[in-house]
Amino acid sequence: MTQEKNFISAKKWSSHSFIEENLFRLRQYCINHYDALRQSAHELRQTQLGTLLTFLMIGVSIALPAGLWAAVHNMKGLTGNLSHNAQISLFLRMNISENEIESLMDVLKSNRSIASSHYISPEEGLKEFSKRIGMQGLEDSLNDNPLPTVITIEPKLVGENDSELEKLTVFLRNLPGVDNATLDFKWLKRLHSLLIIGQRTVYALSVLLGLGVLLVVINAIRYLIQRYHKQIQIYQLVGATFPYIRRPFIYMGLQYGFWGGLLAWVMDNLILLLLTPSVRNLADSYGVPFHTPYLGMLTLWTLLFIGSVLGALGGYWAVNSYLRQQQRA
Amino acid sequence: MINFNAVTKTYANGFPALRQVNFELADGEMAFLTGHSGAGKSTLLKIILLMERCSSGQVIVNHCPLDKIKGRDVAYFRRSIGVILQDPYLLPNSTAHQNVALPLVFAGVRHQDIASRVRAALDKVGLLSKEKMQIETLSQGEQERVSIARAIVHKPKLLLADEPTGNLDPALSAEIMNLFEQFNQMGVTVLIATHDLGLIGHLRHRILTLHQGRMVSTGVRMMTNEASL
Repeated sequence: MTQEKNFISAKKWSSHSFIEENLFRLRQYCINHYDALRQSAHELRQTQLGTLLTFLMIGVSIALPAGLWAAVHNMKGLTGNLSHNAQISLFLRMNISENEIESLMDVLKSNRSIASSHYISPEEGLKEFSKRIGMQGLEDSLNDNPLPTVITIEPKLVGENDSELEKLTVFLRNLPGVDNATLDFKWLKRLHSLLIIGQRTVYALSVLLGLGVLLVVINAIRYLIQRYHKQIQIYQLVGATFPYIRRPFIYMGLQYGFWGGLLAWVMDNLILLLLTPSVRNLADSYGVPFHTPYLGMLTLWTLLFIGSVLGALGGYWAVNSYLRQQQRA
Repeated sequence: MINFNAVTKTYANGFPALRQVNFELADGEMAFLTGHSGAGKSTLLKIILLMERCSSGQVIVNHCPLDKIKGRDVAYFRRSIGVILQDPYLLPNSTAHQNVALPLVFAGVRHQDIASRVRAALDKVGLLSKEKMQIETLSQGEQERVSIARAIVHKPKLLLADEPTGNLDPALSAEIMNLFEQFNQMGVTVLIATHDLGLIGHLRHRILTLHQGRMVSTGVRMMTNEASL
């Protein structure tokens, strides 16, 4: 072992003090990393078209799950608002008397599960209906108003607890003077289920496309390694360690991922910019407040981080497998 | 310095490159390794450089059994050896100075020390005036000398050369051999693989001869240098 250390002692060149030596090593370590970063950036600039295509491939691979995530996240936000507005509509018997309505309203007001109730007379209902279907003057053309008196109720119970809402609906349906009670909730439930499917699809896609990013980086780095094959051989011949050889390629992968992440963020925001007017119209039609769903700085940092990590991992994997292959050969 | 003990190397395709090779090279000795093309000269040097591992037998270099050196330590091992190959293996887009500096950069030598040592090495091979020139602009002989400067810049104890004069004219070849002798006189152990018997005929050093992977002669002209005496 002492003999082995004879050549390993080639690492220890100077007889400086311990602190000086370690400071020198730290400085050297930083310089090596800086050089590797600079070298990798130089290489990416050299192969402009190839680099751009790789950036785009990685950008698209990251943009797709990130965009879907943003869409699902925003839809969840929208439906979150809707679930708070879950409504129960009470259709009262035809020819119900004013007194009966008043006593019914009193019962509703005293119920702790009900946040608010709103009375809609048959006349108001018909006016609203004709307005919605765009047939002005419909009420004049009808001899009798076919619509019943309706009371819309906003329950205090919120979206997630739908069995409580079902119970409340049954209770309201059995009140005197009530012909029918409907809970406008099932479609929301379906939407929630769809969103959960969407969310899980995004997760699965993220894993797949993350793997895609990894493969794109590995492929790009392997191509670069082929170009640098002779240089690596020279380095190995004159005593370069594996970490020294690996470093520039890891930085190349990291830069692919970083710029790919940035491109993904820009692409997603552009798509959101294009979609915003249509989504705003949709949200308005449901009376839901809508905020522009751009991907913010936190998302940008997340994408840059994920892209960089995947890129660096891809670079490491590509160069390491090459070096191992060389060692075996 | 180098000890081969019953070393056999058989490649994956079954070709036996070396068969039961035994020889010893003392510290400070200079020797030539000769043989026809395919005799196993390059394989022998590759085994010393750990570019190949032997199939059986034992190789000891600088008192260290090579089979004990793990993959990650190969780089440190190579830093104790100077290598010159027929293809000079130089970075084409770099200057002579940058190429010669490589072993020192990898060894973590201080920047200011690197410059002075590179200049000294280039001076030794007569290329100090061309240190800033790109490798591509240098002649083949000059490239070979840059390669020699790179091999000696980190003051190795052992210098290996594989057909270092293969592409050079006789005058230049003699000049290069002269350089090797000078290094040997400074105490460096030198092993040169060559098939040019005419070139080494007048040099009084041991000649190791390989034939079809076997060491058929290990000491026709024994002459250790003055430094090692």
